[in-house]
Amino acid sequence: MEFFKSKNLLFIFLILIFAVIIRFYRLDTVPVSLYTDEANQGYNAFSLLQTGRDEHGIFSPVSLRSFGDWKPPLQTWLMIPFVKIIGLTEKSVRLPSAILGVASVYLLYLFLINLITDFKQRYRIALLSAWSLAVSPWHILESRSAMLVSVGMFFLLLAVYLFIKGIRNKTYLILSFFTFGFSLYAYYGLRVVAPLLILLLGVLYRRRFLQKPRYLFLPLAALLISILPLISGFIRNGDVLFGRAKTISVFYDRGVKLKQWELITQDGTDAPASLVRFYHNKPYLYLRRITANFLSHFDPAYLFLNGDMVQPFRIPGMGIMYLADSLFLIVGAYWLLSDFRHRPNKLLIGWLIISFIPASLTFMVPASNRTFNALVPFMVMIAAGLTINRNKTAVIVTSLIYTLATAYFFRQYFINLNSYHSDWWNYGWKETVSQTSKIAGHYDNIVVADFNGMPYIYYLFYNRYSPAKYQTEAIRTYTADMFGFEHVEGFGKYLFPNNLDWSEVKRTPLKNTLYILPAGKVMDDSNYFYEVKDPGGKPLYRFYEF
Amino acid sequence: MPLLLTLHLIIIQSAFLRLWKITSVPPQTENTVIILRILSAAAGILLTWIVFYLAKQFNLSRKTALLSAWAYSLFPWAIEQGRIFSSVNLSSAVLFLSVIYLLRYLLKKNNTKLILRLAPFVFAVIPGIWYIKFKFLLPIAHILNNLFILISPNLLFYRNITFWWGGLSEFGINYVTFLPFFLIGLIKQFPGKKILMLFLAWVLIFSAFSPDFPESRLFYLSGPLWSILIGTGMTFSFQVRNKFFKTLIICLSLFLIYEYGQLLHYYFRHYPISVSGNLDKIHGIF
Repeated sequence: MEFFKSKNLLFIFLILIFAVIIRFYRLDTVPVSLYTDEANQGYNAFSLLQTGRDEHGIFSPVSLRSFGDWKPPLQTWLMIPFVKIIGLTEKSVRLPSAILGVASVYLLYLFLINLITDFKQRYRIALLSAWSLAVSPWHILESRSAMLVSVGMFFLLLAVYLFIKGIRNKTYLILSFFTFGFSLYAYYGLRVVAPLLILLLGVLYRRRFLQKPRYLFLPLAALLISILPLISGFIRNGDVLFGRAKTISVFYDRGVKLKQWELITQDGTDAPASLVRFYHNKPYLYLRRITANFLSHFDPAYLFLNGDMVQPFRIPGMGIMYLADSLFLIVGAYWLLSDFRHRPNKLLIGWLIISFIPASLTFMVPASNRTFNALVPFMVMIAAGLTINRNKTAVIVTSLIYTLATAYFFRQYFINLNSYHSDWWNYGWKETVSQTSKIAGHYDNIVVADFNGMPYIYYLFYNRYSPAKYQTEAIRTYTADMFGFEHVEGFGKYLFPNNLDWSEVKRTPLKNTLYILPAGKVMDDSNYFYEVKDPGGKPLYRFYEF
Repeated sequence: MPLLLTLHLIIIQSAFLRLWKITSVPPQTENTVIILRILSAAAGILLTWIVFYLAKQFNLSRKTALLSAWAYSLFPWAIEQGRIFSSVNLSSAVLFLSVIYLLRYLLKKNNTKLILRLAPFVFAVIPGIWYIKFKFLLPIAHILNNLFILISPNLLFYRNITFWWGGLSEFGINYVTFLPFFLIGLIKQFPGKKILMLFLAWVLIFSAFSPDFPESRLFYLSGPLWSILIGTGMTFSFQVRNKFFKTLIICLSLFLIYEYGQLLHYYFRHYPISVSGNLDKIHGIF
């Protein structure tokens, strides 16, 4: 224990060095390409830097309309200095996430030292948690990409850390509440998680606040100030706060309603209506669906074997945690639950439950992105589980297992992801845009079929297209597709038709026009003059001219 | 209420759930032999009694033993398997009857440490043979996947993948309301009842190794152990004096009754409809 106490600074320094190396090594090329959401935030940062407005022409937005998914803006704002210094590149887009990812490792360490009261355990658990987070596949994947959640987790962790410090010092409490409010601009899910965490902390430390209710006055004022722009934005447009929730909510999905209809039909007309309603009512069916969504995040096959099935959040051949974590997670969970009377244990269990609530209210679960904040309690559990290793042999064996597991993850992430799964990250657009730019002058129109995500954003991003010009040229209908996304029809000489019918185009093509289509849609047509291929040689996009 | 009367009431409930409309729900296939269905139902009823005695064998209180038996009597998968000819249901009765007598002998001799040391070797025999015999069919990743399916919330509470062998696809193998009680039971039992935990772990591993997973339904053998853990969790929960916790337990109990009603409605009303169109897909005696 003394050893841990005296050497803990050295250990945390080494952990942070390691975290920096893992998060910054080839940041621009692993993952191999910018995902549409990353390119979108990068271009919006560029647009805000140059014009003060986002791609839709909204001045200083508190929520980015983006593809109609209303992205929280904090990460985009954080990108601006990097875009200013190093230009609009993959690196400048991913740097805020990576920097705050490393900072989260240190913050977790500080948070646990302040949270855990058991002097013997706290340095051990804090260091092991920081280490677990530093090498966590889930955390590395998210903090090496601009997917909002890494930034969100940093601010949430900071807010809770400041709250714990604020129990004894009012200034920290004011900062904590301000940060809680600030975190609402970082990630959509935090608009559910942060208020619930404030409530949980309020209940756990109620005695402190009930003794001196005035103690809360300034912190609440700070919270109000931090969320004032969001409230003002919400008053002007309700979508600022709930735009995304409308399209991903479990209530938006028709599955439950169809199931209810099927069951009521099976019951037949002879069954008493009140009885049919008693059994097949929406509250019960939705409750079942929501609890199923909630519990799906504890599915061990998802956590340790297969991972998230949504493409950019996948790691080939493994789960979002190491297989070895499963054992220590169980032991750690037992440790937390069996000593549930202690406040830190209650906080961590509560944090875990709260982290899964936003995702439970959506479809497409389990979702590693939407439940990213669960990493904090999960890492503490794993660390607590690891502390059972007391004798030398057990420590050596565990270290060996984790070394092998980490090596496997690095191979899968740094080599195999790019080599065999480049399509998960929409690879190919950089080359497509570059090639298009070389020959664009020869054509009157450039038609890019909008099958894979949002191609317009890659043309804006890689061409560093003037935001001021784009804001006046963009053709949008603001009609959402079945997933709630709004497409851009075109700008300048570029057109992005949705679901282009190639056989129809070939019958009546536009003259002096360049057509770019995904190779999968035109496999039989070999009259292309240029082809973009993935690292494995598989055709991705083809260029045709008329 | 006197112990015996309560136990009898639980067994009567178990018998009602397993025997009522047994000739028509589930619908008969051309291979159905009613007497075999009744035999399976009898094994299910016997298992309710066995769970009670098994819990007592593990030195649990009478209340816990009764709650365990009650939990088993309305265990969704046990009801479903008790209403068709199910070899795994019959095996379960034989296995746990043997366990009661073995425990009675071994625990009396106070050989717990010896049992715990010998158990892994004894328990490893069958999965070991399977693995040697079918090793090409059973790579480690496959076994792990099976193991994780068995403990997935989806199988446990929402979707029984063995629905072609009598399970109800809209329900898991257990009620989701039982989960908090199960977790409490697990935490309370873990330190003191290592044999119970070892047995549960063995059933899990044993099932995951099965070359016929999930058709073999070997995980069904864990039903009585689940019930004991749920019973323990319930006993503990009902004793807690904290008002918030008490309110939560009352709400859970009310929801359990509703979920139980849902199960009966699905099983007796919807299951025959969904199965009757697919009877040709059901093979073997049903």
